Amino acid sequence: MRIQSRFVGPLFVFPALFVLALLVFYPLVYTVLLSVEDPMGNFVGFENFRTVLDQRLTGTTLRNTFVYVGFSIVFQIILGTAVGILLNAEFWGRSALRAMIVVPWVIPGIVAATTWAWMFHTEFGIINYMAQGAGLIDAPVGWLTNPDTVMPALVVVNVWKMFPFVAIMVLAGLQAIPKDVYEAARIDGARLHHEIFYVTLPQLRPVLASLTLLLAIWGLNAITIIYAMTRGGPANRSIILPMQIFRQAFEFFQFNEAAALSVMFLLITGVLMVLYITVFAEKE
Amino acid sequence: MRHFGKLATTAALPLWLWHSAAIAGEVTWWAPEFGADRAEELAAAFEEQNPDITVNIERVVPNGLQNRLLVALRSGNTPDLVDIANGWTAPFATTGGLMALDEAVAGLGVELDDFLPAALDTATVDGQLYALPFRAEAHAMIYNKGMFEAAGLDPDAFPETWEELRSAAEALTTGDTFGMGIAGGGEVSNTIFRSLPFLWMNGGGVLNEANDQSILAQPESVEAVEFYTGFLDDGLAPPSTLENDGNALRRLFIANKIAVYQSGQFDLRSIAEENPDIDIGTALLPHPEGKERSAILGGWNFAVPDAARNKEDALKLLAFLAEPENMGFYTDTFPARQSAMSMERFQDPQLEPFRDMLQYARRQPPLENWVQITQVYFDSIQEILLGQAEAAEILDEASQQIDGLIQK
Repeated sequence: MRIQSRFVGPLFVFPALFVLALLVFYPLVYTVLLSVEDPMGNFVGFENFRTVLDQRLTGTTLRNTFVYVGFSIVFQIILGTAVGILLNAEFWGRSALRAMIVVPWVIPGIVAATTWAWMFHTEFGIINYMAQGAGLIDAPVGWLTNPDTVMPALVVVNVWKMFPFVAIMVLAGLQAIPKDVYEAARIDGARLHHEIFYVTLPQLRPVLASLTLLLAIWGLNAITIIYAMTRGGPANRSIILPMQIFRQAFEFFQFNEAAALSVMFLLITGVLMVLYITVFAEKE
Repeated sequence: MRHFGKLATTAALPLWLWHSAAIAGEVTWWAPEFGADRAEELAAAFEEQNPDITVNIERVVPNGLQNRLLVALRSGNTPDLVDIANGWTAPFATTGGLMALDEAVAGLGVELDDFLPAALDTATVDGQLYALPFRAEAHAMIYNKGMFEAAGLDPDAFPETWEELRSAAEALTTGDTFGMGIAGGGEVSNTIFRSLPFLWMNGGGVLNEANDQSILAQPESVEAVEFYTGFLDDGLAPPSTLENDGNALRRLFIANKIAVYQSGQFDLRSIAEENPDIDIGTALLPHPEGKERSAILGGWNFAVPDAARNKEDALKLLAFLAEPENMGFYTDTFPARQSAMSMERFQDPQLEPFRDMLQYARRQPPLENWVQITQVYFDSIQEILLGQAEAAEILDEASQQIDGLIQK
């Protein structure tokens, strides 16, 4: 009886593990398989990869992806940390402000993106309306249709959407810093900016590092904002990799080429993550 | 072991139930939301005539339906009858999964002679019929008669030629309002439907007759694209053009921002509802001097998947829906059968130009990667609208890209 009971536990867990493994590995393996097959299921080697790399669009896409994700992360971290530090200070109405700051993060992405698209609209958008009313611009600006403004506009929305998450995590990190560290610093004659740069930020480094990683993963996978606001336009000025994969698979129905793109994408992000984790781990 | 047997039976029960839901005597029909109420009425009438058949209507959202159906056709778990946009018919038929209907249609006594030839074209691949058209439509011009009067133009004489349209647009453009609304953003197909007819009229196009080479770089095509995009270049179309699709154009028209645009008849009702002050005019698409008009044939077809579980009854329902009065009742726009066109609901004089445009309408090329080709074309239109390079140069490059896609 006793021996039997040793196997009962794993036996009960097995179905769940099996399903989990299936859910994780099946799509992954299937994607890799698709990427080296033609639509009829014949093995074609790296043909799909060559087709995809031959498209001039792929270069543009990669560049856009790095610009979009890179700038987003920088501003998300800066703004998020600043707001986190601010919210850690004691002042009247702090709880209300803390609650309000989370709103962008809580709103469903598609709702937020659609609302922003309307706010940015050349003709009906409130941004042009207000800027014109205040005399900042003479003619309406095509925020989402001008090649010079479309990426910055999308980065703004992405930063707006995610900085509250950074702020909350930073806030949590700040509360874990013991008070006596600050007291020691003050006794040594530290001013506020000394405190921030020599006490707060170094203590926050692990939090910020994991945040950067998370933001990079999310940013690289996010399609909602760009899909809802520009669909990659005008003339592919704002297309990013997930959007191109989506188009290839679900608009052109070329699942094999989409799979090839996905595998490439997975490799790129994989390399980035490994690099990042090793660098980060070394510093620790 | 006994326990296991019981367990297996219980586990398999839902599967069995699910399977038995589609046995003989039941037909599952995927009807898009916009026509589903009328589908219910038709199904009730059909059931009355055929008491041994039950029609299960599954209301489907048209947005994303193409994907959903693609997955269904691949997995074999399909409805028995489904409404598909006419542009999807050829790709679906080519990749397999749709039943060839020639024999069935002949056996059921459906008179194909009565159908619009262009509509039948959309359902024909390699000489075989893979769907039965029921709805057909083409774009016409919608314009604001009040603005015509204010600009000193005759509100009852809409421009006949491209040149006349240009000068009308110039007269109609005043500080805040624009003479012409063109599509250049949003839904890709909206821009295709509005710009490609101009290329066709001028003897150009995206592809040649045989659909094996791009003719986008030829002078006729370049001239037509320049005519279309010129409205923005010369300030006759609103600066938001690059984000305007069909919906946005309708909204701009309702907001009195544009005086003229192209669309289908489905826009008329919402304009009248949202801004009853507009005196709406409708007219044929203007053509180049000495050349014929053109339009893309839009519309929907009925199809029966190969994997349908109850084809026999599905075909019976198909024959019932193909009867002129039922088709005329079901369609949102016009029926694909010419005899149904005499029904009362299609006699509104405002609809006349839309009906007349049907005779100029052609199907889109039935290529499997047409959607990808239209994306390249759409990108080049956007590029030209951005005005950072010469149209001829951009179209030449697009033409080469498209040639590469065709050869695949």
